[in-house]
Amino acid sequence: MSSERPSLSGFMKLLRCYISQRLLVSNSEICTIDFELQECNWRRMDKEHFDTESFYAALDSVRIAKKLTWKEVATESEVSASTLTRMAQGKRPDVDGLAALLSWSGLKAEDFLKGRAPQKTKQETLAIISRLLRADRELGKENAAALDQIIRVAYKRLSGRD
Amino acid sequence: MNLRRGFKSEANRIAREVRRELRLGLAAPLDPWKLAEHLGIPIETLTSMRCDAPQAVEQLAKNDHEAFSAVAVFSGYRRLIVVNDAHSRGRQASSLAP
Repeated sequence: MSSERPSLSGFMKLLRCYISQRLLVSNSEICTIDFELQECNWRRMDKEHFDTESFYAALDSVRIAKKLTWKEVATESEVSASTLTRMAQGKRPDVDGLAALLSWSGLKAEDFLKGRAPQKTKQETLAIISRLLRADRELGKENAAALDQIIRVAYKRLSGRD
Repeated sequence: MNLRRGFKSEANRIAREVRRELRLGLAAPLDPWKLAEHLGIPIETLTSMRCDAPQAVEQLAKNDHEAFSAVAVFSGYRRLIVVNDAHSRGRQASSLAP
């Protein structure tokens, strides 16, 4: 018997369809919305995705409200600390991990079925780093300028990663 | 330096858990590149940035290669590490370890 689990994107498609079906039976106004969604066709569904970063941010809020460390979150939810760290990097948890975290947090998966907000690097942060580097007399002018450039490139690459 | 109460045992638990996930014994060498890959944290080399910042790479990899070891940048919850690959592999491992 195959032990392969359904992929998260597959699971989300099913969930999306389930929500769509529920909309259809709600009322005519919502049916219209659903019709419009169907007009967008299945190709658009491929672009829909689970917004891991928003979900992680919401989990963080729950964690802070409960005054827990991430390690305690891992213990309580029975999800490994490594999985939580990977999620912080934008990696998606497997379906079991997601289910455990939803159950632990009381959050709803459908709230995170949307386009991800672009991760913007705060210009103020870079400006502060630049100022601190240039203020460090031991570093030297050339090294400060070089480090400033490297950090800017690093931020750019980090923001460009999916 | 004073560590908060419970830090050492918590750190040990996490270390044991991660080693188990990486299928490493408690005393086996830990490869920081493999650990970063396991945690989904990308590591980029300084020289890989030559096309975007040629003068900066020249300065930090050649002119004054002792000035920079590694840096971790954060964007939201995400991280990326840049390591100076002008250094030996052992030195890079030491730079990545913290």
